[in-house]
Amino acid sequence: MSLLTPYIPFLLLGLLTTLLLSAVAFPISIVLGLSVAHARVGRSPAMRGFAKAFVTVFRSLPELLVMFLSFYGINFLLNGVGGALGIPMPNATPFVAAVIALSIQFGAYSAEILRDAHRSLPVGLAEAGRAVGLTEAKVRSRIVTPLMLRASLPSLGNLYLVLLKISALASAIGVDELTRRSNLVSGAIKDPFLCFGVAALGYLLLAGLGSLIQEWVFGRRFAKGGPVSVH
Amino acid sequence: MSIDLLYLPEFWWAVLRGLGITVFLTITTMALGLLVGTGIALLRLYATWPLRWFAIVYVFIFRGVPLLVLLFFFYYGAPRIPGIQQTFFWDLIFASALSTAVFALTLNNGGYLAEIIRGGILTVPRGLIEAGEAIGMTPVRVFFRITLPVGFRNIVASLGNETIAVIKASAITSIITIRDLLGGPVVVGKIYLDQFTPLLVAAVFYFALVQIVEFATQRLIAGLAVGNGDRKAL
Repeated sequence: MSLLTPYIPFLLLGLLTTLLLSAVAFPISIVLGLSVAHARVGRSPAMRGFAKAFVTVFRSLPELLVMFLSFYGINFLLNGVGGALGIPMPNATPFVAAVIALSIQFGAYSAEILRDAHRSLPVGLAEAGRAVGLTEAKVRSRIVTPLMLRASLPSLGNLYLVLLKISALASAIGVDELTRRSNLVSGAIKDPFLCFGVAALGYLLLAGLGSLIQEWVFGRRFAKGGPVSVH
Repeated sequence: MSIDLLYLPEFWWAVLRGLGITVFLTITTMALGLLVGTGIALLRLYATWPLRWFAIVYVFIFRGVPLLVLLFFFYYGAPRIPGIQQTFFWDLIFASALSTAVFALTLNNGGYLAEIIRGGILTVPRGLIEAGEAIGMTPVRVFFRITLPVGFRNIVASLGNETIAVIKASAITSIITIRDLLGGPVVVGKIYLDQFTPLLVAAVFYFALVQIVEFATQRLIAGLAVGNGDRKAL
């Protein structure tokens, strides 16, 4: 234990990066998920097809693969564009690549959750909006979206806990978060059991806190979210 | 970025071998995970407090810790346990990266399956179990003849989802040197300085694999709907 003591602040910063990564990626994925869910229940067949393809593809791909695709893909694009324009482009940082990968993939997951919520909404509410003369856009933004979000809150809470765990994969492309830092410390003090044990505790702590907050915020009435399917 | 990789037999060989390893990991993990998961679910439902708490803690830990951390924990940690290399566990589990991967995936998957199986058992109508008891079946026989088959039918969809989750999670084992469908092609790509093509090829195969499992699950659900008065599904 004494060997690990000097590294505790280092690991805590890693924990903060894990939190930051998920805190940035999650809202983006919800916005993306909302757009895709709306496209999927909308009138345009092209948009519906596109949204369905997006969800099917990104629910099928392993998170690690998407992480690598994002990392190499973004730099490939940036270099290509930079080369064509004749200006040197900066490389994307691992953090940005990880945020993009997580946002896209969890966007697909949350789109599926939100679409399920949409299915459970009473039709009468949207019809009431149209009856009082709201435009289709207003019906969607003022009635359908808030109700969809409220109905899917418990499932989205569970999805956030999944995102926290999956964010460990960002260490594979070099994001300096908890798992990567534990790996570094483990190399330094030659005690992998202790280091990864501490990392595991960190994740359990976040998961436990997350579940508690979920209970407090949403209470018993909302607590029947059920497990999230993430494929 | 070269297209050369796609004309390289070595590359496609790595893809095929990787596909084999991913399928092997998925099947082994699901089979072992079902054993572990059923055991944990039974402890959670029917055991008294020490074992029941063990089941609760098991599920909390192995569902809460990221698989990557679990893999690192055993892959780097296990060889450092003093004296382990002389024991049975070493030869069985920790001597190779592949068996370590199966071990960690099973622990993780077992936690998820335990919750699914517990849910399935809880959905079995009380009356069916009482009927079995009433005609004099022993509790063990009631479990194997009534609770398990009826419960299983209720969780086929969840088991399909879990299989897909394992296919996707098994890609993480490439970080501990497993040359699966992700790791194999990526290693060849590194040699030929093309990191992007292997990812796209692997993505196509993962997509196909997941669609196959999805289709099979749908067929299985349709097939098992027999006797529910839902013959249209056939």
